[in-house]
Amino acid sequence: MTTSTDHAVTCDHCLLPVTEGNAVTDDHSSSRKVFCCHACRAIYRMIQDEGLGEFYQKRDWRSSGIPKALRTSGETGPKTPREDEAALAPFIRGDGVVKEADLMIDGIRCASCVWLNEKVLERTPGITSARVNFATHRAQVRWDSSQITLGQILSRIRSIGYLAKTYTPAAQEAWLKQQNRDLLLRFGTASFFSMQLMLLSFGLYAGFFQGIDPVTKKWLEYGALLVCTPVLFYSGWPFLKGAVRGIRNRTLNMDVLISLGAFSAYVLSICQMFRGGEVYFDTAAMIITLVLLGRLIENSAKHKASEAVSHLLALQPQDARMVRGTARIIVPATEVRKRDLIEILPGEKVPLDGIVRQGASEADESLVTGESSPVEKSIGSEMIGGSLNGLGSLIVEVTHTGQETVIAQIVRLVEQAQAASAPIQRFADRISAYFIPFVIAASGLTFCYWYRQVSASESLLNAVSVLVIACPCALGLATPVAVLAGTGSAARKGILIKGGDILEHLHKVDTVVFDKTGTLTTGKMSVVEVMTNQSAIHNPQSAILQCAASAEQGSEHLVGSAIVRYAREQHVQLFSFDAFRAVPGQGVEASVQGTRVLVGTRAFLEANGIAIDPATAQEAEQIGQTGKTVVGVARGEEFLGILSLMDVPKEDAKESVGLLKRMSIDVTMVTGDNIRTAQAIADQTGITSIIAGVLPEGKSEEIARLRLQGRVVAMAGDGINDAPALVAADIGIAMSSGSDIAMESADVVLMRSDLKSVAQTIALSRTTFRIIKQNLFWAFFYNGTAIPFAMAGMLSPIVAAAAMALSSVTVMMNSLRIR
Amino acid sequence: MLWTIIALIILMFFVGLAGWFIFLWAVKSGQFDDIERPKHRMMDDDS
Repeated sequence: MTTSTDHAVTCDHCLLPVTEGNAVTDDHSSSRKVFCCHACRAIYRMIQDEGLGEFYQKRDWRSSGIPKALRTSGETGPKTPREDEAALAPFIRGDGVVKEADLMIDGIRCASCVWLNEKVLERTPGITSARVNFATHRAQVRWDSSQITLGQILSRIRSIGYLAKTYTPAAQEAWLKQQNRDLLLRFGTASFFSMQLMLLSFGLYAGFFQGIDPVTKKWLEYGALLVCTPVLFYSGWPFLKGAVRGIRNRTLNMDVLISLGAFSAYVLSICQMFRGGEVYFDTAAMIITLVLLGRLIENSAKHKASEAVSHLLALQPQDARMVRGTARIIVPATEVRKRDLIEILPGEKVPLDGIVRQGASEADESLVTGESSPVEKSIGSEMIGGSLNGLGSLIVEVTHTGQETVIAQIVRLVEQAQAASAPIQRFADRISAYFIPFVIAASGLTFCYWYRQVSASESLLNAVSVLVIACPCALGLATPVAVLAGTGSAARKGILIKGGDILEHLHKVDTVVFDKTGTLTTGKMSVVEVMTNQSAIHNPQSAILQCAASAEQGSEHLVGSAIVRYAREQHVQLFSFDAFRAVPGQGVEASVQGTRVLVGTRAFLEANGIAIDPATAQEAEQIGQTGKTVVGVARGEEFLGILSLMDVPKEDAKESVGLLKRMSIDVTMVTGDNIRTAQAIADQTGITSIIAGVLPEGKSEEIARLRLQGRVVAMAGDGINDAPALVAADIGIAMSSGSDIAMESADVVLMRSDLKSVAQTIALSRTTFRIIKQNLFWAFFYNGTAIPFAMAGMLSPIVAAAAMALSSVTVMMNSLRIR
Repeated sequence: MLWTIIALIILMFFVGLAGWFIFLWAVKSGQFDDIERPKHRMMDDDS
């Protein structure tokens, strides 16, 4: 990268130092401009062509929000010491020369900031790609490590006026926490001063009706001014800032409406104070306070979302047992390199992805893939980090570390999906877009009318009064209070809804996608059928069950525990067993009351010399076709019969699907299992649309595909592999019996394992949305009807206060109707 | 009479101000950072 030398000049666009030899020059009407690169020249030209040359006079990158420390480093160019590069190393992914890292960029305010960052980075030699996400302020940068270091990239971003940091979930959380604190401080301050203000205002109201001594009035007004000022300029600062930005972008947003109302009330009151009229400080302060309260309510329900990612990472064990010849040493998982051998003992969690080199076992991957039955592992099988090892100990060669593991990839998918769902334009914002021009027109009309009748100052006063009264302060409450009532009512029904916008979104849902395993079904195997060997009629069903369950007592396999559980439910007495041996993926062998008992697959039984009669074998085959798991039972040399097991649908599954269909919502089932199993469940629950055989990563794609068809999709699931799909859907609904990650990435969590809640949630959302619309109507209605008073020059603080109180109370009461 | 009222108003303002300062301290020292976890903490065995 270019460093400043004696002949250095600075680029006229980006202010980077550039040596004269490398500089690009361009002659303009006023003077000759110097640029560090063609991109800067192009941008400069573009800005000039658009007639926005003022930008260069107005910009002040050296003072707008960039800490002093950065300012110096930005000016003196990259000076990243070696230690810093070492400190940055953990955030870098990829081997070879091409590296990748996630950065968080502070100071991104508009889409053009994104554009600028991307372009500047992409044109920096050595950087192969840079993508900046506007919503999350995150950048993904890929570079050639032989040409540039991460430290230099960070300095590069600083040099164009943004603050870049390496991205970690912790940094993200700290940022969110900071935002929350800021909001809380502003609201707390606003409510404290508003309380003081109301105290004084009530005195003034009384004075308005009963008459008041002018000296007292003056005192009260000074007091009101004193306490109103911090509310407007400290608490209301974000609104004022937002309004200025909105006006610059020529959009009339909520901020403009709020600022206009509060600010004009404030200025009007100061004028009135000196003219001896009535003051409206309370209106100004209340608008800000109520809107802040609304935002606080919204925020507190929402901020949990970012915890999802840290939970996901916590799944992987921190340590690995590395194989060094015959010795085993425990090292942090981050120190394990590719092709290292690690040992995994029975029942341990797998720390990293790898391939089995020695030993055989089964792994419970349900946490990662949602697949309920354990997967058989032998030499050459792949192990997924975060899964649970079964009964055998394994030596695994590590194939993926750090950011490349399956879990890390799922984390990235979740993050990407979170970033992709852009926040909808708020409903109130759309209304304001019509309301504000109307108000401004009314205000202008008032001025013109009164200008002819009375003095200029008098008519200006009337015009400003229109602005004051028009600002609906209940507007800030209309949505959040209804949402609060809605979520509160949902919570009583065992439905947790994370945030108001989610409740708003829910009412539009027209397609619900259910994950099969664990959501529609119990997620556990259950014995559905016991069949005796047709040639051995003297074996009653309970005898088979007794044999099988007694032998399986030693097994931790899902099928085994299902059989034992079923036997206990049937009050079958179990015998003690010994000489237990489990063959992963095949079956178990144990000695019960001195006789050998075998429970397992057909192949397992036959391999152990048990003859199975063709009739039963055929029957078993048929049962297998319907998606059930079949195990055979043998005692001694005699084949007793078969047990068939399956993952059964939850009791209320059928009813819930019916409820949803009656609400004219399409129900779809998505599963990684084969179509046979899926069809069996679908038939039992009344679902007609099935997407089967989907890979874990594929679920979110299927959701995206449905959304592309213009559907508003809610996804209900519970496994970790559902997490990306939950986020990809418009609304993710997780069952509380599921994994933490699914619950964290979901928008809605059902605390009861009750599928009917899905329909209840959507119904509740529809009610809430109707209430919100009514609220917005009332919020505007009272203030709207007060406008004629203001236009007629009859505005008194009482009318303002009454309109304010009435609209707020109406909105509150209306929201309480949500039950 | 008037001065009594004004004195009282000012006095109450300062009482309120004290409350505000306590609030500022509470926010800055992180009392509101996590309002979910503490209420469940007594249920945990290991803390």
